[in-house]
Amino acid sequence: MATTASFTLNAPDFTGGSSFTVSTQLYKAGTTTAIDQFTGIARIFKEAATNNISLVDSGDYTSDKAHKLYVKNTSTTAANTYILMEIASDEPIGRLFPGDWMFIPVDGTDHIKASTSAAGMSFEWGFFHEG
Amino acid sequence: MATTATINLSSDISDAGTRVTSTATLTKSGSDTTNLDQFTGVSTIHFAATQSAIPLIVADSGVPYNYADTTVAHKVYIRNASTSTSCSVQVDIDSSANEPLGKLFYGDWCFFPWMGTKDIDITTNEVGMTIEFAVISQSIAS
Repeated sequence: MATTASFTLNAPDFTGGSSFTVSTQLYKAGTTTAIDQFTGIARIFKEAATNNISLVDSGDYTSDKAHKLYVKNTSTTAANTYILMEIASDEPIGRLFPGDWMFIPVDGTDHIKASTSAAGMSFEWGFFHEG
Repeated sequence: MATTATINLSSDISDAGTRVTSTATLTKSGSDTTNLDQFTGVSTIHFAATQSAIPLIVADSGVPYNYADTTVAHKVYIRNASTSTSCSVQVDIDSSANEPLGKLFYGDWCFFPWMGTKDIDITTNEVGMTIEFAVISQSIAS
């Protein structure tokens, strides 16, 4: 069982922005044992702008582990619409505009939630975790 | 040319397997076509000693980047480039509240949007650790 996450950044407009790729195997915290639980990739569509959609509920997962969260804004709404990603009590991580994605480690001690800024937005997400 | 960020996820945790490939074109907030115009380059830092909640990316640094905030589409990349299994980098949001995002174990990377309102701090758990990071940002708020 294995999960691999690769990242490629290509920034040709900048000096030093040549394309590079890094790759990691998703292991349990501090081990070389593969992460073995996964929510699958879910897709959510919201007819109306919706606040505080819970993606990771801290009570559901063990703290201090090597969980990983993937989220992509799959909306085809206007360029100024976004999904606000927050942690804990409305602490902003950032805004995912249409087509943007993120991949972050999750500690499991705080909630992670998404808020859509406009009607008719959608996103997909998946959570690799240790339970 | 535009700056692009691509993720490839491959997993056989479920019987059906999972493969995800997604490429984002990094544009300014509210625009499909105007590219992000600032880049720190990919920096590498080697820490001789352990670090506790040190600001890695500072929201109000003033110089040299003077990050615009809130209506922005900044992106942050951080990687634990250490080689020991037990090495971890804790990533926090907000130098005051230190809300823990999560830990990057050796080889792990993350990429996420950033609003430029709160610092991003890191904590390392062993001596001699190495991290990489980069910020792709926009010079003014949209």
